[in-house]
Amino acid sequence: MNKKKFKKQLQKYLPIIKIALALILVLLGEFLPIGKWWKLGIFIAALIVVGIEPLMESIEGFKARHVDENFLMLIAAIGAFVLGEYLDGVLVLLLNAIGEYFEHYAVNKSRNFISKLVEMRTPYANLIRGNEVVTVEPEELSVGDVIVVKVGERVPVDGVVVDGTTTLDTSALTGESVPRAIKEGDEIISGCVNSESVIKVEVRKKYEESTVAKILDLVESATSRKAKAENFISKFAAVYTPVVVGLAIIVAFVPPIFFGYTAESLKEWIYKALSFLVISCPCALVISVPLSFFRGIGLASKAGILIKGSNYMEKLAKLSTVALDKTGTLTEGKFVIDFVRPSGISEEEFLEIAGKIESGSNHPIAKSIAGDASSEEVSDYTEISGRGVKAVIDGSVCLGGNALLMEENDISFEKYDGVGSVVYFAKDGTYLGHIVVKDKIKDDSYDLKRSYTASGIKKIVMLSGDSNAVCAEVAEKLSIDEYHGQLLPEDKLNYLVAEKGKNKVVAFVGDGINDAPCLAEADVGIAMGGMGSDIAVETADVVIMEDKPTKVAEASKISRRTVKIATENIVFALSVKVAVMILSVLGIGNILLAIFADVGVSVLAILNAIRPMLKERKIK
Amino acid sequence: MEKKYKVTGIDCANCARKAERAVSKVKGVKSAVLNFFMETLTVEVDDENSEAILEEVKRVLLKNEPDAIIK
Repeated sequence: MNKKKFKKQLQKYLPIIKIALALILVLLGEFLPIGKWWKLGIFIAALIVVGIEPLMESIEGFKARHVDENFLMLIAAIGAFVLGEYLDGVLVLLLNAIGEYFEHYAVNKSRNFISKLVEMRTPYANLIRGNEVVTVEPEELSVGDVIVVKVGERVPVDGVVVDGTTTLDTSALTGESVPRAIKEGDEIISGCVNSESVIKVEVRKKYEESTVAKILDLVESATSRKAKAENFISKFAAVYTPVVVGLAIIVAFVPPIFFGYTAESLKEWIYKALSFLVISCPCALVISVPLSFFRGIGLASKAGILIKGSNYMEKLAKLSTVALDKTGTLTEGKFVIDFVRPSGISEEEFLEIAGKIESGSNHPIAKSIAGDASSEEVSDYTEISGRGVKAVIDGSVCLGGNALLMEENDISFEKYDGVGSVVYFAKDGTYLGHIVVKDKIKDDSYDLKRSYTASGIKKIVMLSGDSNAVCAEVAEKLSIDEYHGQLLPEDKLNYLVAEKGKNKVVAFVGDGINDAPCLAEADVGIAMGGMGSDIAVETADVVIMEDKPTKVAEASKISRRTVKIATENIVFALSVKVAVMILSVLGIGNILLAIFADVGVSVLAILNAIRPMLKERKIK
Repeated sequence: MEKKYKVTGIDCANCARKAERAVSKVKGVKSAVLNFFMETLTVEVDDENSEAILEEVKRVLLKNEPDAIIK
């Protein structure tokens, strides 16, 4: 056991030990006033220290029948050595080892960053079994079980609160820090942290179907869907190494033909060719481009935006038109009183009685009027389908409903034709007045125009089945460029097809319940409201956990930054490599420049790729 | 049929890329993605003879990356 631990520790520090040892040897060899043979001995020792691993890797490579970059690096080092450039030879491998060490460090850091998401998963759940509470794994829970979630614990599976009230911290899921108040009967999703008091929860979904498991699965497979840039790099890398090695051979043996086949010129050109071998690994590109996307997806997840693949990040980065559904996306999907028009009684009196009349109904419009009114005084209550309600209060027959209800009861009333939904009220055959309710626009929607414009989205369109009058009002309030009302579902679809035909990258944002076809048709389908609807999560390319339309701007912003970084890395790495080749042939650069360029490019590209995270840390 | 493996111990991104190419070329493999960062291998193989194909996938992967651990 101890031996194993020691071995593990040794493995961890081995690269550093090797680097340090080689560095000391190089310094000794270079600066000690010793004889020529001693120097050679010390440099050979240094070469062995840093050369063993590449040698092993090369042998492994040969076994799998491919030429490993390590082998090319090794040839470059030994070649320089043979040409009498001991220092150059050792430095090729030494700097390469330093570069690799850094690469490992950066990759591990990035992996940790993603695995932090995994923290949403709880290792255990407190199951109530008879009179006792037992600890089980979340996977063991079945639907209908009742579990206890203590303060500070995460909700293990999706369920319904059956006892207790508390507040939940949803930040791990949504990126939002405002806690959510929860009471008996509320549905809660896994991954939230219980922050106030103990609650009992009835399991509604098994672990595999719960939000947490779905999110983890989604993020995990997201980086396996490659972006175009990644596929390009993958193809490029496959031809890059052979081409550079071919160039190296040409550089080594062709020019000497023209400069005379002397030992001197041969030596000169072989030395130049070694620089080519040093930069023959496409490593900087192969690691930094996928790393950029990996980071991007991680960053977005942290903000409560689940992007299902790197390819969608590329599309989000080019987003020009965003079409949004109205009800439930830009608006709350809940009604509030817009204005009250009493007839013959005071507004206060009117609202009180209207509240009582509607207090028994579950209809969203009725609920918005009833507010907190109690139904205690209502002695007899009937709902009249398609019309409204009839309630007996203090012996008086009261009505609340649409124009049809009033007409059928021969009540003369003041008809309303404006924007919104209207409810008329009457008591004992006398008209009392009407109330107009409207769907409330989400607070977040007011920031739509500003945030979308800032993130580079050019056109915002609202698509709705509602009347044009309602749409016009919402569009004006939110400064939306274009709106289309009274649309049937297929009209929405046709709009998206037409817009895509204009060579624009189009996103559709909806709550996902009725608009699955639109989500599928758009270049990027964005479902809002988290894991609510399974169909939405399946069809959408991006899932936004929080009900906030401005998150689309954030998604676009993160994607634009990610793609920009990936492009920067491709251009930077390629130009440096080409520059090194040219300089080497011209005799201006040497093998040291090549190795510095190679390792330096890798390090800089990786730093560039993880830059967004570094920035984020600073903000916090 | 799609199958996902956890693969740890891959040395570098370029090694992963090469191993991915090698696995893609296995007969019966429709697509293969070796995700170096998530350390996962996702392969889609023909339904027929899938067991044997997956065995071959593992063998090819290990030949390319002897240090890899496939779970």
